[in-house]
Amino acid sequence: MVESKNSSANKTNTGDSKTNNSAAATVAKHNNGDGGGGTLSPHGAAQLLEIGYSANDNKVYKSGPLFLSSKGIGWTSWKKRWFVLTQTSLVFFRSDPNAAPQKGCEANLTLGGIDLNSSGSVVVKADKKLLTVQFPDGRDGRVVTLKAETTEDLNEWKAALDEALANAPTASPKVGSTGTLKNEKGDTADDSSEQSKDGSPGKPVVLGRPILLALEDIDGTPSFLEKSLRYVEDYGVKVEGILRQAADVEDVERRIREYEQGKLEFNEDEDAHVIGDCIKYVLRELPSSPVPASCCNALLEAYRTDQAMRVRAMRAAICDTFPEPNRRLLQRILIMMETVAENKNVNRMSVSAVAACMAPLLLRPILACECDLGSQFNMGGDGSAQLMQAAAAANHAQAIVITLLEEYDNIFGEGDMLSDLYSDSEEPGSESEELSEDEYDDGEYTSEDSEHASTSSQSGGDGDGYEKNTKGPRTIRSHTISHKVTNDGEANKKLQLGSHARSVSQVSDNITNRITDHSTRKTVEHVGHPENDNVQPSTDIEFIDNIQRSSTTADSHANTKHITSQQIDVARLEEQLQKELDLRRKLETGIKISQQALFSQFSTNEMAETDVLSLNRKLNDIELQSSNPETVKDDHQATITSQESKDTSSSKDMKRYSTNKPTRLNSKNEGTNSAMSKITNGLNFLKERSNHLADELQSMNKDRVKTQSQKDARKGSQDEFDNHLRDRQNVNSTTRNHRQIEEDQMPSLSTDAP
Amino acid sequence: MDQSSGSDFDYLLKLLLIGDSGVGKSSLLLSFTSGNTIDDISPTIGVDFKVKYVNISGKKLKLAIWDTAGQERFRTLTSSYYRGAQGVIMVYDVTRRETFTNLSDVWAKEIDMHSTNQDCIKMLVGNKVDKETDRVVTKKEGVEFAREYGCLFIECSAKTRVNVEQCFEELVLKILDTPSLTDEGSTVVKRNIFRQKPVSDVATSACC
Repeated sequence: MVESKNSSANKTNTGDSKTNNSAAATVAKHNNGDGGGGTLSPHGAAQLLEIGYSANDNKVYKSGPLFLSSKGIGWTSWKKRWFVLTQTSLVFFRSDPNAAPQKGCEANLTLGGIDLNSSGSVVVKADKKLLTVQFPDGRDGRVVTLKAETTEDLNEWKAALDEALANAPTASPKVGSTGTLKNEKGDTADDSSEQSKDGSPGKPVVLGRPILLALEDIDGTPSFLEKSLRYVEDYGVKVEGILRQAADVEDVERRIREYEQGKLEFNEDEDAHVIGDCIKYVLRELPSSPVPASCCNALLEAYRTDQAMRVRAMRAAICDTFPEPNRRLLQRILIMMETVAENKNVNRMSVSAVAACMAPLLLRPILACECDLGSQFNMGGDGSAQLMQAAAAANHAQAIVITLLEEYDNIFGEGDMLSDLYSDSEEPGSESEELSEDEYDDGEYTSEDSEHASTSSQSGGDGDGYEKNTKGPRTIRSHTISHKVTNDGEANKKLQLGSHARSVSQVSDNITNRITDHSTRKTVEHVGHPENDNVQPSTDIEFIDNIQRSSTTADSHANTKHITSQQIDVARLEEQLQKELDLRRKLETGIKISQQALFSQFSTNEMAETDVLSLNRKLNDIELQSSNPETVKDDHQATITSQESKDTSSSKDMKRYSTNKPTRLNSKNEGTNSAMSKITNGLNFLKERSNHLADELQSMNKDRVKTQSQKDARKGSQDEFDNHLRDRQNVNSTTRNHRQIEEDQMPSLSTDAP
Repeated sequence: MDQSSGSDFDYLLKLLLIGDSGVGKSSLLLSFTSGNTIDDISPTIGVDFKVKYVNISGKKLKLAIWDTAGQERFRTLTSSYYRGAQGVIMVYDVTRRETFTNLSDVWAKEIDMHSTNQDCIKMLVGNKVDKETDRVVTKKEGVEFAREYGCLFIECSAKTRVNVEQCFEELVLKILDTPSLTDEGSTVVKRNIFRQKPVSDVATSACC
């Protein structure tokens, strides 16, 4: 609100980014340096998150001047800034944005801010008039220290902050950081951005508009951005390389100037590349990222979950963390991107190409390396880490945008977004996708599955969001958010035959959901699971299906009783499962720490820099590929095959057991008890697997520590291990190739070292 | 990675590819390093780099060639990207004038701002000469820009591989000719952001 009032005078000149550059670089460097040994942000300097204008529709709890600390080694200086506190953020300006804006020349932009969440707390040091806002969730130690002018002011702020924090959104499920850090831009940067060009008041403003007004003006008319998007959708989609090929920067600026001077409509004969670049330019110049840092983190976190869970996790992340205006803007841009990608044959812009071009603009905080991508890059504060991180960040961003595009309906689709909210708290940062489907034979289940398909009707229930793979070839879809989920989903599922991995947690999740569902609305016939569903999960689901079908048909009373008791059992099993998962996570953490120790020993020089970068790129490639339908077996798995062989055999037994059951069950049309026992067996089996894996991890860890050299460890940990842990199902021949290349490069590493 | 015999080289040179998106930087790199030409390359995101061992004028060289996304200028990336580079290849598309004008408007400034090597050799490359019929930037314009900016110039086609080898060779030869770039320890010259004057002793040499 504050911003929008002010925005009419906002006309930034951030095209000249030179001063910003150095400021941003310093921040990144600083963060890298701190990250090195796993100790994080030792000093409580005011490290502030770049604000989303998410606060737009928020109540302002308090605004007024406060002093912001900037800390150096052994010194602290205080700068007076105008702070505005809303329910979701604490933002600061150079001066009061509500004060009469100097006509048209000086923009009073947000300099920075911090996203609030309910985990935050305020500590007051009355004697020094200090206010400290801290968030326990942040690994990076999100701490902001502010100083009030007077004691009354201090108390007022404390009260306001307490109130705001109490009403702030809940902390993101991630244990790590909910927001990342961004220092206040250096004063030089402020100056450069404030020395704006002649933004004459009263004329349409194109650049630097708040997110809320990105798509439409206050009176509801489409904005420059919206018009540009429509232009690209109407005329640009047939142009080769649209959104990729750059236009002349001067043409872009000229077109924006023309718009500001009254050329409000776009003609058919405009250069589509110029308009495409206008879109990018406007997005780049938004005062905050279209996707705020906290949302980027949530998306990253969601993206890291297992494939089967991913879409749902991302949906939940968006429901959870996105302020409405940001979500709308993101959706609008995605729709445009999709329109472009649909015309791939003409414009040669595939989904991944469009995503590559737009991701840096949409997920700005990720690209600015403000988001936590995991610990693998914390190798020291020099430029190489920065570079690698940037490359990894770019890849992550692209991957996320691809998923958003490909799963648009499932992520943003109807079906109330809120109903999914419960899901994200269950498995925060789940890394339970250890269950590798490679060991199962999908073929065995085909007949059975089809049988199910014939008996159970397909209804696009709330399960659809996560039934689908995240990266299957996408069927073309209309732009409007449609109800086509069911058909679409069906088609997709068929495409993904055999590529579906499902995590342990999800299976149990499913069970609970469905049972609960069932007990509440018995008459509803339940979602038939995708035919291609992975064996283990599908057996589990079958149990449920059996339960459900039998119950819907006849003796629902008895079944309800059964189900209730089963629910309890399932809950118990789930709990056990959770314990196993926790245990494994602990082990993983242990391994990560040992990795870190090794990393920190690793001295970076020019070649190491390049080599390591390439490794990381490969890693990212692998990650990307891992989400492709054609997942091939991790060759690392080969190394532990012997360990797993007994596993596999047990799994076969399991399979035989479970394949036989359903038939009997069907004939009896009662066997909820047997179904229950199957669930139990299934879960036991999963637990067993989980145990096995934990053991494997342990032994692997030991081996590594004992026998492997530093470099091997680096190689192993980065390449094999991360992959192994993260997506056991993933990875492929490329890993092998990469490893070879890597080994090729190894000798040069040692010889290059000074 | 033609010869993976790690240490077996006399010099390690860091080269950069810059220019607008879609001009063919990645294609050029791929064309040079692998000898393959791929019709459709998706946009580079972030950075990419390739290593190639070459023998030029009797010296074994390891070229680390960096390729970056032209899309978005990665703000936090640029300084690291430019650090210690001995050669910068500025690529434009001869069929798209804006890619040429942006070189002087945008990219040349980037180099001046971030380059840490005083004597870093720059090379202007007009790509896509295979599309002769669509050409809008004449060779003469290229030559003139190169002369003005004090850099090498060549026109090539990553698609047909015309002049691709020559492009890198030319650049490397020039680097080898410049003692300050090959002397031990001089690769990281003290950073000088405000360097105004382009290196004047680098003569223009058009070679096509």
